[in-house]
Amino acid sequence: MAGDAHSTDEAAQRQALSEAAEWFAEWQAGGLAPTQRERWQAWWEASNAHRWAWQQVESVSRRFSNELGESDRQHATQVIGQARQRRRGRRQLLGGLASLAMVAVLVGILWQSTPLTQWGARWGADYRTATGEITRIVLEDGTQVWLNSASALDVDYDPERRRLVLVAGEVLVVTGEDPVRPLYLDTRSARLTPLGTRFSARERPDDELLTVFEGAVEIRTGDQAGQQQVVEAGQQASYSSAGIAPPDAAQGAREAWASGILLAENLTLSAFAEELGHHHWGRIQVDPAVADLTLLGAYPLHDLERTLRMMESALPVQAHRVVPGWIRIEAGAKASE
Amino acid sequence: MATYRPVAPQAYHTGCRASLGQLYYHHQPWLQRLLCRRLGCDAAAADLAQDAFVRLMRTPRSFDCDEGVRAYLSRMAKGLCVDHWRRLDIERAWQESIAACADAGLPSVEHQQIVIETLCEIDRMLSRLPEKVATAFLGSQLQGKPYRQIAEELGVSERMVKKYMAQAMLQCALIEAGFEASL
Repeated sequence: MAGDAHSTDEAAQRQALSEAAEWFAEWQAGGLAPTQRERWQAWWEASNAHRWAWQQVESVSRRFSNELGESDRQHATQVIGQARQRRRGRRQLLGGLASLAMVAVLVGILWQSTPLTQWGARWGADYRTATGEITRIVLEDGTQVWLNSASALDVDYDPERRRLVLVAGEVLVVTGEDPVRPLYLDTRSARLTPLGTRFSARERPDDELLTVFEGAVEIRTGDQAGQQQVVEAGQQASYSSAGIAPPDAAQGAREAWASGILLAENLTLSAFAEELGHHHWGRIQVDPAVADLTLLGAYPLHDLERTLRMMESALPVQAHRVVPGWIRIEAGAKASE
Repeated sequence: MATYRPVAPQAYHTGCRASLGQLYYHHQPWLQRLLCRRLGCDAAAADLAQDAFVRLMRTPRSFDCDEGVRAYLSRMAKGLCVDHWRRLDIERAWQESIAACADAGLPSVEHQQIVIETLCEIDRMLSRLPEKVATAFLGSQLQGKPYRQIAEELGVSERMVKKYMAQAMLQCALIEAGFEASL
């Protein structure tokens, strides 16, 4: 369509389109006077680029006339106007949400390793969840907290500071802004201070894991080591009272659970079963022969049956119910369609 | 501890020349998830994820790295969502509009589909333009209103309407010529 206008550079083509658009606006004003018409004719003949540009204008113009009948066109303006209006409303809403300057914090620990002494603290905590339950709470300053399965959180706010304490499990915190009181999250071995950011952290038996999704977070470990490190967006770093390990790439799974999703990014089957185990009563066992197969995808945390079926269609394994509450995953033919 | 931690995303076997099948296997799940989060609808997300891979199949391209694939698919997903919402908006507005004058008799479903498709296309072309510019252009091109009438309705001069018309046509022509993508 462009003819040898292809050989001219893009700037010349854009210029020609701009001129063609001007001419079009003249035409639409109610036709051209004879002298104008001559000028248009001269312009049109002057170069291939001009003729090419005029073709573009004509084909745009046809789009508005070809497919639509007379009555359609009368509706059309109103229809497009309404669609634009809806879109504008939606954009304003999204803009409003974005400007809340939210800060997300996610912290977890491995449930199974929780010492018995922590059970007491868990029951005494301000907020807690049962196995399989994920809850969202809204605190007085607008801070939102998602509590993962079998988790507990203490909230300790005073006029000077906003202190959250992870007692057990895993939390995702989205903080509202407070110009006066800083917010921090105390975990077993460190204080996590968000530096205007969205990040996650998780406690494990031997250490803890901080994952930063946006901005940066400072880790400051407890008294004896007293190390500190700022972890940047897209990174995660493990730490304990003994020190902080060098950061590596972040994983998205540590915030997906808040939406009820088990996010497997090349997760081994054994780790997958372990993660599922946090959300369902009973035992999920994996045959060592298939334990190292890896899974990729998003699985519904609350729907064990569906998750197992999805797993079976992704990997050559089958889930057997040994007895109620005891599932064993072992090698097996792919479920037939 | 070591067993828990999943392998970092760099470990996907996409490489430089991953087949579409490999790309699908590695990227369809998160893409659908992303779409689902945006659309709040599982079925629509699955459809759009499928569309994305069909487009990828039609215009094959090679990616240097995993991030490249993700960035490309994320951009495509964004465009697909915008299109999806546009279609819903247009369909809804269209239904309302024809319901309001039911006496004229309902056009055939086939015809309605063509009209909706055309309106989506027009809306897409005009989506970057300011309100008055788009209104002027639609008034002139769809309803055949003279500049004078448009000027009165918008409360601007006729010269301004002419400027709006040129601005709108230039935007459409740039899209038509492939210099700019519609939004």
